[in-house]
Amino acid sequence: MSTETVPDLTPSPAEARVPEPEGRGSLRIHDRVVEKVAGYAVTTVPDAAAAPRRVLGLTVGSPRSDDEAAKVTATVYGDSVSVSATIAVAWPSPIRGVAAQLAQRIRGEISHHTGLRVDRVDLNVVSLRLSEVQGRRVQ
Amino acid sequence: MNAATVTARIVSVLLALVLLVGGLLVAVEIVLAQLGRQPWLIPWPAWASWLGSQTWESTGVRLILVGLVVVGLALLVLALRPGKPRRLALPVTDRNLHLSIARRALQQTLADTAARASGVASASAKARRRTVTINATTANPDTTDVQQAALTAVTERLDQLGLAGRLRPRVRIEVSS
Repeated sequence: MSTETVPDLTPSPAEARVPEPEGRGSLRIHDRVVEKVAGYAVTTVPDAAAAPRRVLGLTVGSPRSDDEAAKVTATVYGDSVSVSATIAVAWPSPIRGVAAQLAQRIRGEISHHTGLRVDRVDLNVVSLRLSEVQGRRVQ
Repeated sequence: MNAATVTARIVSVLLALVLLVGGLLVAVEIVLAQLGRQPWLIPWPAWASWLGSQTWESTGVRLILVGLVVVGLALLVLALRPGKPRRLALPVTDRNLHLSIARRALQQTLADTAARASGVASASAKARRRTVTINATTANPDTTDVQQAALTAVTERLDQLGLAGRLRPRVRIEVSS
C-alpha cells in the first residue's frame, strides 16, 4: 500500500481497509424476536387474546389478561417468516373476522419492527369463552 | 374431557413414572454389580439363573412371548386407529392465513349456542370428523319445538364458522325431571 499521503483527501490506512458498508457484516433476526412481536400484536386486536394455559388438557390458572402476549412460534427463513399462534377469541365475535384482522396486524407489526415478510400465519383458536369470564374490551 | 381421556392420561403418567423409577433402579443395580456389591432391590442373579435354565421350547417362555406379541399388536392397532381431530380447519379468504379451531373450543361454543336456544335447560356437544351431536335437556314435555330451536341455533353457528357443509349437526333432547 502506498504511503504517499495527501492530508485532507486520502483516507488513512485504517480507513482504507474498511470494506464497503454492505460487506461489513450481516443482521439476522432471531425467531424469538419475531415471536415477541407477534405475541404483542395479539394484545392489540380487540376480541383476541392469549389462550388460557393448559396442563394435561386442563385449564389452569386464571384467564389471561388482554395485555398478556400470546404463545407464538415463528421460523425465520432469510427475509421471510412463518408464524403460528394459539389464541382465544371473545365469544360471540366472528372468529374469521377477528382472525383476518389479527393476521393483518401480525404482518404489519413484524414488517414494521423487523423488516421481514410474513409468508404464512397459522392461527389456532383454542378458546371462545373469553368474554364470559373477563368481559368485552372497551373499544 | 370425558372419563376415557382422563383415565388414559392418568394411566400414561403412572406408566411413565414406573418406567422412570424402573430405569433408575436398573442403573443403580448395574453400578452396584460393576462395583462387585450385592443386588439392592432387584434379585437379578436369581432371575438370570432362571432364564439360563430356559430354552425356546419351554412352555412358559412361549406363553410369555405370545402374550407380548398380542399386547404389542393391540397397542399398535390402538395407536394407528384414527382418533378424533384435535382441530378443524376453518375457511378463510386470505390464502396466507391458515385458521383452525380446537375441537374442544368448537364443542364449547356449540354447547353454549344450544343452551341459549329457546326451551333448552342445558346442553353439551361432541364433535367428530363429520358430525356434531348436541345432547340437550328441557323441562318442556313437547320436545319437538325445543329440538328444532336448538338445531336451528347450532346450524346458524356452524354457518358463521364456515363449517355448515362439513359438520352435520344432530340434536338429542331429553326431558329433565
